[in-house]
Amino acid sequence: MALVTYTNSNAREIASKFHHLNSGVPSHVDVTTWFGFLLRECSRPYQRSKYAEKRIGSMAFVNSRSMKGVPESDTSRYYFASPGQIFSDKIAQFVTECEAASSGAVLARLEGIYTDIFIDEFQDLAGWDLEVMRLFLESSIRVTLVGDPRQFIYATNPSAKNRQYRGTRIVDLVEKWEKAALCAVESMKETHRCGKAVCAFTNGLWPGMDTMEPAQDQDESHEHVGVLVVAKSHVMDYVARFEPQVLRHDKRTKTAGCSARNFGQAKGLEFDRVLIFPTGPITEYLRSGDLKCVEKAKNRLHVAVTRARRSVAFVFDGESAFVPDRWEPASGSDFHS
Amino acid sequence: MRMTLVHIEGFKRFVDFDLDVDPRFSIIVGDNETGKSSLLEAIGLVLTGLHNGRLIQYAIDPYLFNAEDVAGFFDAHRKGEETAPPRILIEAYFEIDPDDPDVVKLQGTNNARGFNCPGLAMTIEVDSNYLDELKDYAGDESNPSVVPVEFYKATWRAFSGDWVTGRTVPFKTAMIDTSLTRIHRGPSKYVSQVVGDALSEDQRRELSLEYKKLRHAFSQEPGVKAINEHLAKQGSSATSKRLTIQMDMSAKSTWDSTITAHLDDLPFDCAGKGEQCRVQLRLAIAGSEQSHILLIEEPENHLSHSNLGRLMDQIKSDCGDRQVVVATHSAFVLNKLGIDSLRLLSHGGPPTSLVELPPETREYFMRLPGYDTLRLILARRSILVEGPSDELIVQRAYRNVHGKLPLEDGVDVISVGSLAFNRFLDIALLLHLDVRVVTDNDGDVDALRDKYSDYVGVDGVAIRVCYDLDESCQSLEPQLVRANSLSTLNSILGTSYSDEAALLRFMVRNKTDCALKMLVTKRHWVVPKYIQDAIE
Repeated sequence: MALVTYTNSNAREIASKFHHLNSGVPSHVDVTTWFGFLLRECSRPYQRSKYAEKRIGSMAFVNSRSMKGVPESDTSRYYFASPGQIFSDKIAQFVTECEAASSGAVLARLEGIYTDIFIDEFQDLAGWDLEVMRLFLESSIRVTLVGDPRQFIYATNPSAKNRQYRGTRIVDLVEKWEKAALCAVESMKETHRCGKAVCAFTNGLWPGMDTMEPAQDQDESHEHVGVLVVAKSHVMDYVARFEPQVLRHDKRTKTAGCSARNFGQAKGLEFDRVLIFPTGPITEYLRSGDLKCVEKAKNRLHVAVTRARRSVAFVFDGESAFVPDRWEPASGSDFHS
Repeated sequence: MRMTLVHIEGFKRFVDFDLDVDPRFSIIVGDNETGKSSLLEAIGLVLTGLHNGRLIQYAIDPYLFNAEDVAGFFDAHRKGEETAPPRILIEAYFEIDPDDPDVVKLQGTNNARGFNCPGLAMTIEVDSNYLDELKDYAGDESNPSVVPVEFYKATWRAFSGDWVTGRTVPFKTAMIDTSLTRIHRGPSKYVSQVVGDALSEDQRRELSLEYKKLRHAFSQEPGVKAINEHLAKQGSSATSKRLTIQMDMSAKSTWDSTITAHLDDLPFDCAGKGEQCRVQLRLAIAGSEQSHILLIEEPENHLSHSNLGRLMDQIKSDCGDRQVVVATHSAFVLNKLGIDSLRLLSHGGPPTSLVELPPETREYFMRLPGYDTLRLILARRSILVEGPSDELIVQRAYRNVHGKLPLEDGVDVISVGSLAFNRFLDIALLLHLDVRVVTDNDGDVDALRDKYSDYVGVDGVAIRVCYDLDESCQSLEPQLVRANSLSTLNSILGTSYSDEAALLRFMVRNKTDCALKMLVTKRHWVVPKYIQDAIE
């Protein structure tokens, strides 16, 4: 079986879960990134049906659409940055073309190798990736797609194809697939990671969407759990006391000298405690509770708070409209409630 | 897992070569220098990634490249023409097996034929980072015209385009080497490799761990401890650090470099060659339930006839459905394993097989191991005769005409008996061999014409059947008597018959003796015309 996820760090996280539970990844399981999977198992084996010039050795990563204006018929320029180097926004399209040109050999081969394919972070797939996914769903392979539409941060590619299903709208596509009997949708509300307070916080970001609820097996007996704020002046004390993972939107956010991860990089990872240095709009949201402030940032904010197993702290001065808890070093007790 | 085809480009004497591989036994036959060993080497290389037991990446040798390719490249380059540098490609094609995911993983169309099947490809080519360096090297006339392998890299991939390693290839290949020359390269390295192959991953890990414990235990022995204390007291002027002796615990000291196999308490290396071969084979076969490919090089070397027989029986009975590729000179091996698995290598040409032989002819050779099929196949020209006396006469006749014995010209005189002529001619027909038949007419020329009508006068086939048209002269002896005077024959044979009939009766009764005398005599005698025809 194949476990496919989007980023390298997620693939490592999955592999380390295996090490944890099973002392290593079993030999019948391939843990791989989406692009690695497309390259190794979907493009190369039958690349010659479309492109025989050179082995597709690597990918040219692009953030915007590559080679606009070059017609698809010009295979080597349309798909390739240099001989054997395929554009990241075109590889999925290349796969669908290979599948057609080889009369189905690509999927036939995959069917011979895998009984199951699990796709993690499904919400990040976009453009032609979704067409490849459709091929998978139509095959005899059991495909399990796992995703949280709220965690949409990176699109795997900027292609214009399937633009209408970007981000949380991927739910529409999934519904369409369900109608076509390609898949069954199961909504998972329970989280095994986050507690009540974190669920409540993030549910507040997504009015109208299915809520997230803590699973029964959650152990909430630890000290210092929940969502709270920490004044700027207490950050060093807080860090020294709880050793949280510091998170920030991006490197422009100052983190008082603490080493930090960006929200996006933290995706797929989990920590006992996180300390979030909010951006201006997030600070404004904490103060006012007005969702309009975080309209653009709420995917990332959702990712950031849902990394925490036990506690989420925001660096925030003043009164929050909806986060009443505040940590102070002098209080003697670690946590007010 | 079945290999169906091997494709080779630019390796040793193979410029562009295909070998259809038999589902069970492929027997590679060829004269010296036709590349039998090279072919096994190439197959071993693409299946294991190893050359002479070393990873090919670290063992690229200039002499692996086709000499003409190399010379052509240097010539062209020095004339200022753009040419592609020498490159080796070896591909092994396998049967599609949709039920084995590990095999399907190797599937794709990244191969020279563009087939959609599982397979492995070994490419040895110039590393594109060093293309300029290679050109500079080739352009400098003072450099030898030898491939500068420093600029080369080996890549081992599946037809899927993905890399493979010894671990990801889902089957094992065993090279049975009866000469065991590799043993001399390192202490039992080869043996330990063979033993190692026979163990499961868990067993190997266990062995490695036990060995590590043993090495550690050594330093805890009282005697060793005392020595280390002694050393510590001595101190050293060279260093202020404490000096002790330990068993080497580093990775370079592993069980397979020190442990050796024993047969009945005798070190493997000291056992007889026949026994060693059988053990290698047994280990290779017992090694794992994964399908195996066995490569066996010239099993007749270093083995007595009876050991060879036992080895062949073992191969036939124990290999199950494993694929076996054997290179051999021995007609015995060939006939034992089945003549239809033969792949004949010739200088330069594509290999030929005997699969198309008529079934009864195939049966005939299978039932007669040791029969000299290979002599026929390997000779530049063969002269088939009825029996030993004809053979001797033909030898002498040849020397009369050409001044030397037939074998010195690569001409083999083979005594086969008239009943088997057609069997041999079936092979000759298929392989386009140059064959002359010297036969008695047995008093019925029409019957003879009929018997050979399928073989004579076929386009592109050099088969000639030589016999005398005089039906009253049925066999060799009357032919000799008719061609020579009574006195000549009496003098050669040391007889004094006064009439031809009596002489003939004597000759027929003493066929071989007479023929031997005719061979060694210094006197000139006349060779019957039909024999003369076969020789010229």
